[in-house]
Formats: sequence, structure tokens, C-alpha cells
Amino acid sequence: MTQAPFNFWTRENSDANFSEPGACRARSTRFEKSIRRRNLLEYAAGALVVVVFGALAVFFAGEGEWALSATVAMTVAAAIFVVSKLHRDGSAQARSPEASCKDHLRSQLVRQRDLLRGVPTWYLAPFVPGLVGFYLGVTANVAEVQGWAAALEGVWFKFVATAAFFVFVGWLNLHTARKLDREIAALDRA
Amino acid sequence: MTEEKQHAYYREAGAQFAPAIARLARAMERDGDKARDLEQDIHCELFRSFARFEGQCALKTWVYRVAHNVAAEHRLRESRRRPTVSLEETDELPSLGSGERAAAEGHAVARAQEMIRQLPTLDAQVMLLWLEGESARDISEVTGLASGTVATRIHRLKTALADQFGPPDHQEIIR
Repeated sequence: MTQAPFNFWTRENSDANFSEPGACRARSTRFEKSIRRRNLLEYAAGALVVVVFGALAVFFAGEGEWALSATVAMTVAAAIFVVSKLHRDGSAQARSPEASCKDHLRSQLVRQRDLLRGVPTWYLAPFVPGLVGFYLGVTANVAEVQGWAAALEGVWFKFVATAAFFVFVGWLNLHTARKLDREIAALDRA
Repeated sequence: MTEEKQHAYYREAGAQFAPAIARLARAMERDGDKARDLEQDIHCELFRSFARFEGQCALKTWVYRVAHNVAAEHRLRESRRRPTVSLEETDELPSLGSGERAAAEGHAVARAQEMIRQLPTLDAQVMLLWLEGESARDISEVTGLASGTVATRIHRLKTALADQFGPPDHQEIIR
């Protein structure tokens, strides 16, 4: 060790000690805990979708509305896919905190970027067939009674709003992924 | 690796580096409670890591890498993506308020900590290690940056910090 350039810095916290090892045995880092918390929220949301839409699928099937039942069942399948994907790829990675700071930071950023970049395909796209099918089924049912013009008039705004929400969520994630890309590029230049 | 060895490494690391890790946690996190939490996270990650320590590198390198990587994860988690100013991109660090040299040491520490929080993670790590008195070679080993890159950053740091705090107490020779 060379001599510290500013004594005012190294005089700080000179009496600090390490925690007792016993306190560490079961403790997760805040980072790991935050990832687990996020995943648990996603699992809860996924479970809610499965329960509510599963019940709807059963209800529509009971009413003989097989097309609507199938589209709702697609949404259930999408929720199960998304949650399992999150569990597989989004949980805290195997840790190697003894890697060099540059390598460790890069691997964390790449992992986050890849997850965000894939959101349109693995998080949003699975719900599209079910939602589009549901809108089509409901519109067709209304059209049988009131005609297509009235049916489309009643549904177009809701459909566009849903599509806009999906596009916005996708754009937001890709935008954040691009920011992470720039950070990774800056790291590579360092 | 026996548990006894793991405890021994942990005790040794604590004896040598506990103050540096406390300073690292307080520099990376402004909130006092969160800083203490981060400090304990680093202790625990170190304890767990010593189960894998087989002398692959110096104890100091291992300790600093684990500590700085946990702190970097904390930064990522907090998502503080406010604009940062890289040491390589500027000759002048972000202003910390008053340009006068701090009369009180506590004030000087607070300003240095604020400066660290305004730097990108790798630059902040270089600055922290340099403030701890580590050589360019050791900083290079911990951070993974090339020695030349570290030397350049230290030179910029010296210039910037001399403006902020006056000349260093000791003229370090960059090795």
C-alpha cells in the first residue's frame, strides 16, 4: 500500500469492525432481496391472471362460448409462460463477486440489458394472441346482434388504447436497454 | 476450504479493511441507514466468498473486489441513473458548491463523498481506492482496468482534487 493522499479521508471510520459471522449466515444482500421481491410480485400477478382468467375460461366454456373460452385460456398460458421465463432468467444469477470490478459490472449490465431488450418478445408478445382473439370474439358476438358498424364503434377505442399501452411498455424497455448499451460500450472503451 | 480457514480470513480481512469498507459504503450511499445496510451486505458477501478463497490473488485484492462489486450492485439496484461526469471526459469535476478549501475535515469528507457519487461506477471505484492509498498497479488489479488507464485517471483525480481540497498531503509516486 502506498501512503494515502488525503489524511482527512483515511481518518474517517477508523474504529469500524466487521459484523459477526453468525449474522451473515442467513442474510441475503439487498440486491438479491430486491430481485426476489420483484419476482414474487410478478408471480403474484401471474397467479392472479391465472385464477381470474382461468375462471373466465371455465365460465365461457359453460356458456358454450368456446372461441372466447379459448382466447381467455391463451392469456392464462401466456401468464404461465412469462412467469416461468422470469423464474428461469430473471432470478439472481450465480454470484462471482470476486471478479474484477469491470467484468462484474459488465456482466450485471449485460444481463439487465438482455432481459429488457427481450421484453417485447417474451413479456408482451405472448399476451397478444389471447387479447386480439378476445377482442375479435367479443366484437363478433356484438356484431351478430347489432351489426359490425356498431360493434366496431364500441370496441375500436379500447383496442387502440390496449395496443398503445403495449407499444409504450415495449418502447420504454427498449429505451432503457439502449441506455444500458451505451453504458456497456463506455465500459468496453475503459 | 475449512470453516476455520473461512473464519480466519474473515477476521484478518476485518482487522485490515473494516474502516476502508465503512468509508466505501458511506461514499456510495448518502442515506445513513442504507449505508450501514450496505456495509453489512459487504461483510456478509465477504464472509461467504472466503469459502471460495484459495489464495488466487492477494487478500487485499479479493476483499476490495468483493466490496466494490457489492457496492456497484447496490448502485444498480438503486437505479440512480442521473447524469455522471467521467474523469476521462472532463478536466473539471462537477461543482460541489463552495470552491473554497473546506476548513472542517467533516466537510471535506462530505464533499469527497459527493464527488464519488457523481462519478460513473468504475471512476468512483478508482477514486475510492486511490483515496485509500492504493497504488495504480493494485487499483488496476482490483478494477480490471489497464494500468495506463488507471494512471491517467489518477492524474486527473489529482488535478481535480487539488482544486477542491488543496494539494495532497503526500505526493504519491504512481507505479
